[in-house]
Amino acid sequence: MNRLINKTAVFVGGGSSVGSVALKSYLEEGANVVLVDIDEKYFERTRELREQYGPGRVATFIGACTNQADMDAAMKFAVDTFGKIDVLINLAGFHGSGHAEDIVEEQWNLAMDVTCSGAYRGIMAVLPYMKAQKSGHIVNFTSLGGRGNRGVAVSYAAWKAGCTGMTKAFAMALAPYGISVTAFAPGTLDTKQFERIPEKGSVPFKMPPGGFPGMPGFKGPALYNGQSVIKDRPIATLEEIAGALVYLGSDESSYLTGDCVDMNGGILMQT
Amino acid sequence: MQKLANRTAVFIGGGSAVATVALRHFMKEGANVLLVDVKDEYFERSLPERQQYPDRIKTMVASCTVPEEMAQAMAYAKEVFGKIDILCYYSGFHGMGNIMTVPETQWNIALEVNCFGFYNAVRAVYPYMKENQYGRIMNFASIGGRANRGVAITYATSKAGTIGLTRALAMALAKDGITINSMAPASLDTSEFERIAEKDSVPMKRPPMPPPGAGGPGGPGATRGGSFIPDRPIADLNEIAHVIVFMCSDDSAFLTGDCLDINGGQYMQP
Amino acid sequence: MRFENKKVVIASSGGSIGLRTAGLMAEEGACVALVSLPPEGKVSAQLTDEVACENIVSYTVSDFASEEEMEALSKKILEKIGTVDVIVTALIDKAPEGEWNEISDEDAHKTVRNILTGAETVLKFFLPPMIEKESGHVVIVTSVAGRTNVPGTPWPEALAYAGLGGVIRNGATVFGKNSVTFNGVAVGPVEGMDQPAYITENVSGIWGRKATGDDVANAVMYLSDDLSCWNTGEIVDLNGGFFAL
Repeated sequence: MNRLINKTAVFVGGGSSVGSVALKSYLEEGANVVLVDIDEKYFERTRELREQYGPGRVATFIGACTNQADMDAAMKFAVDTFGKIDVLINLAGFHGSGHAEDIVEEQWNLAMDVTCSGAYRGIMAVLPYMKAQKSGHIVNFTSLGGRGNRGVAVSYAAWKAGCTGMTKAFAMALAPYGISVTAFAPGTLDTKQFERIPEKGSVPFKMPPGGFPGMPGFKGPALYNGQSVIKDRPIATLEEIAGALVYLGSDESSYLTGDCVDMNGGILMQT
Repeated sequence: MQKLANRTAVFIGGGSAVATVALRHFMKEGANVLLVDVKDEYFERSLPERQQYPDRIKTMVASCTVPEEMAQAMAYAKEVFGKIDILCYYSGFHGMGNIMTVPETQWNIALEVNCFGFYNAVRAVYPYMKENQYGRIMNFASIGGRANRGVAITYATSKAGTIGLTRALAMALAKDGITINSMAPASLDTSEFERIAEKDSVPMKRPPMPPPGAGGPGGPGATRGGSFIPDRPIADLNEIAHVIVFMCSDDSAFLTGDCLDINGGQYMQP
Repeated sequence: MRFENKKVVIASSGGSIGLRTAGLMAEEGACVALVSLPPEGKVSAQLTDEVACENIVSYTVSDFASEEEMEALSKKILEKIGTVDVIVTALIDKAPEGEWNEISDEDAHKTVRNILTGAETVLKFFLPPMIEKESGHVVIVTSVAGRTNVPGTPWPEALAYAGLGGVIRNGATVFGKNSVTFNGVAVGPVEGMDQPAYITENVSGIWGRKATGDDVANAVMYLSDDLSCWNTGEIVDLNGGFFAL
């Protein structure tokens, strides 16, 4: 259990369900972790775990990925607390509401600002430290919604795909500094162990009349509502997601860059 | 304007349902076509077209798995039409089985027909295309080799392989003005034609009807994918033919090594 | 330990990928049957030199694509280790150099047989125990040459490595109902592997170094881990940034 021994990781959007479970895996594998999120209430989810490991291993920081100064301060905090940053995981995301004919511009822009530009700001903020130490792993948490033909909000598909594309460009640009940049695109996750906290600024998703292709209850033609090919496993557990994030954050994956690892139960297999 | 005026095309597997419909479009677009297939009975499908255009359509019996026969077919096309601009490869073989049950012979035939046969055809046509520093080559692959489909392992593997083969040949032949692309359609509406069993094929044994939601030969939900286009679960062969005409015309001059996914949106690749 | 009591079969045509995967998995508690090409004894010697080999048994086959040989070998190995939890294939072959239309039919078929039919045949005889107990992971090591157009790729190799993608996706789709996953790792240049020049010279990843056997082994281990059981039909592009999807 020391695949991340002596590593320091920063999770932006660290109070999310994924961040909360990944925190456990990272601590177990020996890493120090800074959780960054926009409100104290997100950290409640991991209170016990954090108390168990104590301030010497895990710290929290309030800051928004929509604000570059916040991101800069978060990274500085991580370095001040644990001495360095080896892993940055950009987990912050925003769905936005609306099907194609019902997109709210503010939601569209906010989705971009969080999902895509948020990851960009995180990378910009961590770059000076990783560049100086000539190593680092950056993982952008994207989604099947931006990879395949899924019935998600258009803003979600757009900016998750944008974030995956950005991953590749950053991978090319940062390799000379020994920094790997990868994306991870899971399908649906089982988050029921946590109470849902609505995304800040979100308005509820409005179904078009008759439902939405790919969504439950849709009455139209039998579209590709692709499901997992694995028996009795319609969705992923967060522990499984955390397992992938350990691989992508550890030196085991140091040769991997620019790639998007798809974990979706076989819903989408890209050639 | 005719997109294929004065072009000569060779259709390997030219008696298939897809090729027969493509033939009609090639006639309309002004091309001459040599149909090549393994048995005369395949050509019966195109009897009306052949009667209408006796000078522009020729047939020849030859097998894609025999390099010499491919060479003879190309020589014949050159002899009757003066040159060769286009090669369309329609020959295909499904085979049967999954990884554990596939018979060795079916595995080998699938590779022979879907992969090596394509290579044989390209090698045979190459001198004629090189001569004019021009060529359009279309390789008919399938979504079965491209995505998560519970098809026979023979089909999935050989169709995936032939897409890779297409890329490698596209790189090798680009210098001679020859473009090579594959296409990967999903299910096709071939109801216009009576089915002719593939040579040497063993009928695929379907599992007993699965319970609702069990999803056919794959895992749950695996093969449920349908077209996104309302009321259009499968492709009309005319739609496929339009894509083939594009791939074989001057319009596609900058397209090479690609695999066109024409599947009604059921598989969208990042 | 991540692979405690796991039974792993690795089919390797030689080189660091098979060796290091065997070594690292054994260190994590797996019991490994490492099947390689002749000469007999070569791999055992490398094993004692390079990795802790307590839990590794080495076997030799002359032809991975021979059903007869694989059937006999699978019986022998299954008798010894009892079952299989993970199958890894890392079969590579080099097509002869030369113009695309001058490769002999015989050579072309041999290359495709060694890479593609070989992997299928290994799976054919080692998959049944996994299907029976409804769990297991298959990881197929393939090449970036099967993923995209690497200049200079001989067509039989492009065909065979791309074909492995078909095996991965079809296997994942068909055997998901048996809770068996199929994934791939598509490699570029790897240290300690006897690779053709088009890979070592034309796949210039941005890292400025080749992958190590450990890099590949770690990716294989990620995909073989029970925690990755929702990862199926995926090919990880481990080529140093030359090509990534």
